[in-house]
Amino acid sequence: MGADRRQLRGIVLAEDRRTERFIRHLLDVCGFDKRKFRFHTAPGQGSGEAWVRVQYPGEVKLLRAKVHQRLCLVAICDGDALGVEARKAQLDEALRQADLQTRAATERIATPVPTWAIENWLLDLLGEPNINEAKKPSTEAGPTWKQLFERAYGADEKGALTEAANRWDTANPRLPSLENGRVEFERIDQ
Amino acid sequence: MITRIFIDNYRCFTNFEFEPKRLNFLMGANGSGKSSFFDLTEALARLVVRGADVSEVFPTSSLTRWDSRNTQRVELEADVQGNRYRYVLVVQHDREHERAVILSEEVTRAGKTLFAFDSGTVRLHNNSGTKGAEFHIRGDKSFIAQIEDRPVTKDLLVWRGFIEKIWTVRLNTRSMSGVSRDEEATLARSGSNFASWYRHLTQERADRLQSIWSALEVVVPGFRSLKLVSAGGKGRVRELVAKMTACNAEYDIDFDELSDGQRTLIVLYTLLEGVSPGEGALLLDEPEIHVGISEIQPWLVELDSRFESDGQLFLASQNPEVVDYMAASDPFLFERPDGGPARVRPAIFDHESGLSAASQLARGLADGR
Repeated sequence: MGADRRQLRGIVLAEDRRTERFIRHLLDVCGFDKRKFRFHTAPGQGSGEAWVRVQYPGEVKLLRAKVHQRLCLVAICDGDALGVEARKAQLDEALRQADLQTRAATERIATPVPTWAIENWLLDLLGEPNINEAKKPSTEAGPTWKQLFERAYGADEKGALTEAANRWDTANPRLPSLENGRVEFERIDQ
Repeated sequence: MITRIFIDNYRCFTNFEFEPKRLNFLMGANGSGKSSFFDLTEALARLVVRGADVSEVFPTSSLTRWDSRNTQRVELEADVQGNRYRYVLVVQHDREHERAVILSEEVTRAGKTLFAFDSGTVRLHNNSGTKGAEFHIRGDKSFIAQIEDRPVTKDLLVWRGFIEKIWTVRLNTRSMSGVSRDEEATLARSGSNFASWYRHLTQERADRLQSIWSALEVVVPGFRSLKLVSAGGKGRVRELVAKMTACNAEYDIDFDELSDGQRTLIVLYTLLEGVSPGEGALLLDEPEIHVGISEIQPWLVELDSRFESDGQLFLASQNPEVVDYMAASDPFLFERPDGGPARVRPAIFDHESGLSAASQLARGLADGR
């Protein structure tokens, strides 16, 4: 398994740099060769989810055209208010709009959907209490999960991301989107 | 971390103000001011740290050509060790004799003056801001470069140390030499002294050499290690040699004999290990020149990884591969409307067009208008 993972090549579509970094750490932890992956992350500020959704069909088409090569695709975007299933439905719809079939269970295509955002996953993996998938941690006037993560781990973000990736398989996720994300990530290695 | 830079009457900068973030990607057309910005940061380091003559680092030719004023002003603000520092430099030019002098120079920390020079008089202050010694000097050099390490100057030296950690690099492989006459603690902007800087690393950061070699083994086929060998009968002179393998045989090759791309990769990967992001800043001007397209993103990924938690990065490039990766950091657009003063603002990309960041930039669409 380990040697096979080192040979796998892939594309990562990510909606922001923090998400890309987490995936990079995860690839390292899981024994993949990060150098064999190319990272296409949404440029600048704004809704990176749209970037992933628009780029997704082209990358799926390429992956299917190179079926004899051992390639995979990770398209990761936040669930935001929509949640996991609705976001995945959007990605499926993007394929249909491009006259492509929706992904088959046997394809090495993973579409993890951190909800509300990647920071919810990170906080949960790092063992922070009271993490849920709602927009705000508590009251409407409270900080966002992103702010909460940066306050707690901003001084050593690399260490936090590394630790969260290390706990990918061992932590007991309380977030449904994280549990689903683990299943998704396994698809690239089939 | 540099939080604000103000530049007036220097090259294409007139009342130019820039509030950078931590990981800055600088884009812009040719002549939009990116390299001049890097020139300025290097000039400050040479003036304040290395004690260069102000006429040398701020020559009269650096005055903005369409501006008739004879003074240049630079302000640099930074958060250093949790304190807000502010540096203000005013340079007075004599156009006729093409000479420059420092008219005034000041360093403050949290609003308290640590150093002040004005019209020929230096006023030293202790760490708490109260006045100390006062004396006259010529304004052809910054006295900050000569400040001695004493308890009362600790905070001022923190500032100078910060400026010392601002490295500006624009590699020129043709100027790189594999010959080292001595150790050098700083890599020259062009990389010309790479052998001497590497020699310094072998003494000061020997624990990182294996990491550098391991990374290079992957990106430079056949590479095994670097070593400094005696140039023979020339005292301390050393030559940098790469140990390589091919067809099950090991051989040595002079650094100077390697290709431009191989030398660039060696310098870039050494830079990743040799620079401690810490509280300084690394300014890279088109680092990818000579690097094969498939090796650009892996190096950028390593660069991002190096700066993931701390340090400040400024990277300028027009290369599509670099644009597409770095635009996910904090992208800034330098521009000079109608060829006038340079301006900088955040670049804004469309996420729904399907176009890459480089394609949007090439089409002039990265302006958010």
